[in-house]
Amino acid sequence: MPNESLNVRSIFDRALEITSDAERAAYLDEVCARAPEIQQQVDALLTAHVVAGSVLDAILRALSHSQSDRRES
Amino acid sequence: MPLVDAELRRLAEQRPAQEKPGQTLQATALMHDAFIRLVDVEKVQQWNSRGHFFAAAARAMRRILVERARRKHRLRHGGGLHRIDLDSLLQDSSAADGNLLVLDEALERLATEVPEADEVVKLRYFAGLTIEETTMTLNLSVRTANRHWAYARAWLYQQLN
Repeated sequence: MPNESLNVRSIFDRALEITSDAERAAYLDEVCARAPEIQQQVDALLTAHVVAGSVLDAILRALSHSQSDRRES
Repeated sequence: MPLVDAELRRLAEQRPAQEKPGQTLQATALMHDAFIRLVDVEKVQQWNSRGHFFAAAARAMRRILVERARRKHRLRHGGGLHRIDLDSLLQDSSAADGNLLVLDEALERLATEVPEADEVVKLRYFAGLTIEETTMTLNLSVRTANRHWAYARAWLYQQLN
């Protein structure tokens, strides 16, 4: 399993560096041709990547708001 | 502790500048609590590098945030973690404490499974360092730090859903 997650990680890293959607899709098709389960994991990470930042930031921002609210009340 | 004191003050001063005016007090108070914790130990701490110091500061701040969240969450819900509700997160800041606890558990797993990415997350989220400051602190290239950052956030997001 460690090898597989390493593989997912390196494919994810490389895919993020490809700015063109078409080229990225082509890269993933090629590198994951024989490993659909890895492609699935990479796709899930790439989807998460798109929304991850704003959601994680929102958690911490909301947290600090609720703390300053408490301080003022 | 002149070095530690100066570093913490620098952190405390730069953090509020990036945030809304109302958060200044909160950020400064957090820094103060973290500072107390860092120096309030029986034996003298030895900081052998900037990275070592920032990592300890980030850990202290995260612990404070988590303890506060846990306390408030217990009061409000009688304990027990729940899944993150994204809709309520966007509308209701009181969901944040429970969310932070779930996030904290995910961070524990990240530290075990992807320790190098976890270091970047700690410094960026919990010590408020920029990506440039993080690269200097951990002695990484910008490219590597950005890769760890992107992977860690996507990984964490998956864990939260």
